[in-house]
Amino acid sequence: MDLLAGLKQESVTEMDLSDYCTVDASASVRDVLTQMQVTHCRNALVLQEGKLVGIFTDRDVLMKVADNKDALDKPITDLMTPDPVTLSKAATAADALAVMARKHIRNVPIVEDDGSVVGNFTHFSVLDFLAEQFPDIPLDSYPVYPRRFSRRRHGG
Amino acid sequence: MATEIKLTRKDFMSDQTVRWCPGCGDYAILATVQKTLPRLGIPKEKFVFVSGIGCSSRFPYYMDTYGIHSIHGRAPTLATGIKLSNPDLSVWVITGDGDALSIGGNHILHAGRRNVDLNILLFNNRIYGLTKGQLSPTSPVGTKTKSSPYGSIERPLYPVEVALASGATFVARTIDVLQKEMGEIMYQAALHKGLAFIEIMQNCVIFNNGAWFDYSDRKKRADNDLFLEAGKPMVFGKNRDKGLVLDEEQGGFKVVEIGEEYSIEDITIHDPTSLENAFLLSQLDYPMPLGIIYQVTKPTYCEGMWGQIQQVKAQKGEGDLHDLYFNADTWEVTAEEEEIKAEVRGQVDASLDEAYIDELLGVEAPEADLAEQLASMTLHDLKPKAPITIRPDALMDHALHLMREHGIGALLVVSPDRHLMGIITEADILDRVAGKDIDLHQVTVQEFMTTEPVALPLYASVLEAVHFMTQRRFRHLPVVDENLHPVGVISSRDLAEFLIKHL
Ligand code: SF4
Repeated sequence: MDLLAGLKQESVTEMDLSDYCTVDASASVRDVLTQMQVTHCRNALVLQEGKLVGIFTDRDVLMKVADNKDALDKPITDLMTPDPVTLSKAATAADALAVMARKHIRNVPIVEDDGSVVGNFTHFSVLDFLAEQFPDIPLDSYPVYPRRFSRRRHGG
Repeated sequence: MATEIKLTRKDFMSDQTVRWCPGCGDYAILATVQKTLPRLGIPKEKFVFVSGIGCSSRFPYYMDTYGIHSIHGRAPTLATGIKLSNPDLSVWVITGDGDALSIGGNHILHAGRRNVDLNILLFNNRIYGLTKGQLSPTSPVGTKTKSSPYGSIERPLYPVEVALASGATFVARTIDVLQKEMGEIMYQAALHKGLAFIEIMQNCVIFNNGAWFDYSDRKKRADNDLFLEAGKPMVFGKNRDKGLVLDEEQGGFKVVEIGEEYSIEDITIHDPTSLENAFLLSQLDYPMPLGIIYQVTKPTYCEGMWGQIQQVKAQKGEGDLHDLYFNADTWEVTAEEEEIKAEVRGQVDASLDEAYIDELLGVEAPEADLAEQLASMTLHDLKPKAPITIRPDALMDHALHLMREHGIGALLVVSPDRHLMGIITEADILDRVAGKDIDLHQVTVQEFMTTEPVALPLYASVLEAVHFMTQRRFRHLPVVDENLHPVGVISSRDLAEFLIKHL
């Protein structure tokens, strides 16, 4: 199929990789939480001297932080996933998807050879890409039942 | 055996109107074949005529025998199959200079080298007649046609030469006007075991009239035609005063007058078993050698094939086609995972929800062509995972526990009458719970959930889900039935993987 061929050709760098924020490795968990809340960002990439050293996501918050006040003052490096799975800029969208499926992960940071971050590949990256290939439909005028849309940014 | 078979020319004439141009040489050839076959004493149903494409290839329609007007150039190939599977048939190939030597050049060669027991009649009129007069591979240099208006610059092929080179074991030449001689050659060809090839010089009265005039005209042919007889000196001419002798210097035959310098004893004897002799004759056009140029006996393809089959059967018993197919070097081609060319580094976050995602990956979906059906595919087709639900008055501590236990990022909040009231996700935990001074045992889900969440009905299209998710950045989309009862949750991962699977 054309779309699949498209994914095999599309470089990850051509896709939306904006679903992340960066924090410094010296930050505390509390600092990181604050930043994620302020920026409405679910995935924090942890950098040390500009190089990616870890990843900390809302899933980590759920699993390790939400009910654990003691965790807040720990350095982020204690709770992050160190040395996460990454891909180079040479990767295609299909490569990234394959890695996500095989390793069961939701984020694949894309990094330069020197370890600096180019972006973060998520399922939204690919959904955005696919959505562009399909005809746009006006959501609010479509007779969807029930027709109730949240006005708040974080809903589902 | 049964009684003697008595057939006549009439038995071989079909009820079809013969559709060649009036005056075409093909008529004489047809009549000669029809007169010759009864002499063979073979039952009518044992004859098969196979032709390719061209004027001559209409031949099988006019014969009251089995026949196939087959594929351009491929008559020898079909005939080979017919003869192999039914060796007791008398198989005749009718072809022309275009059919046999242009498009069918390859097929004629292999019939020859295999020495298949066929009779090939090549009607050589040195022109493409059916397509209304273009150059053929046997047209002489200088021939002006519609496709060579300034004269052909191509060296022509000599059918006899080709047949000899390919390995045919009976090679002869004749001409349409000499029906008696032609009939005799056909008769000998039919008796021959192995590939019998006859070039018949045929006049195309419409597009190449007179191409063989030097050899067919009553006044000229006595001087120009050489009638070959095995074991006799190659003498020709009205007064039988000319003959062929080997020219040692030139390396070929030369024409000499029989008289003072050469006597009849000096004239070379025709030896049809000599390939060298045959090749030299094939190059001549003065005089034009007619008759059986070459004839030897060699094992035929049929004998070889059936002999081998018998021999192997005797040694190994009856074969089994299935075993043959599957005995070695067979394998199944299965879909492989795409190779990842880019460098993959680092380790997997072990804390992630493997169980949950494994389940998602296993989402079964119909095998449909997404590009065409995307708009008509519904969330029903996507088979959303059953939701994990929680009551609005449940404690947040419990919600956290449920999410961790199931390894999921979203819970649907439902009322006691199973209506969808809200959704609580890991994003809510991040934004509203984590780092705040909140005792999770004291607060309820409804204080933190998103109320009136966007939900899609089961009958919504997959396309809608894509647009909702991408435009509103929801990672989880509740799915409800007609009664607003939640029946599933779709994650961005579900959707992405469903789409990929069906692209
Ligand atoms: S076009 Fe020539 S070869 Fe064909 S039927 Fe007419 S005369 Fe015969």
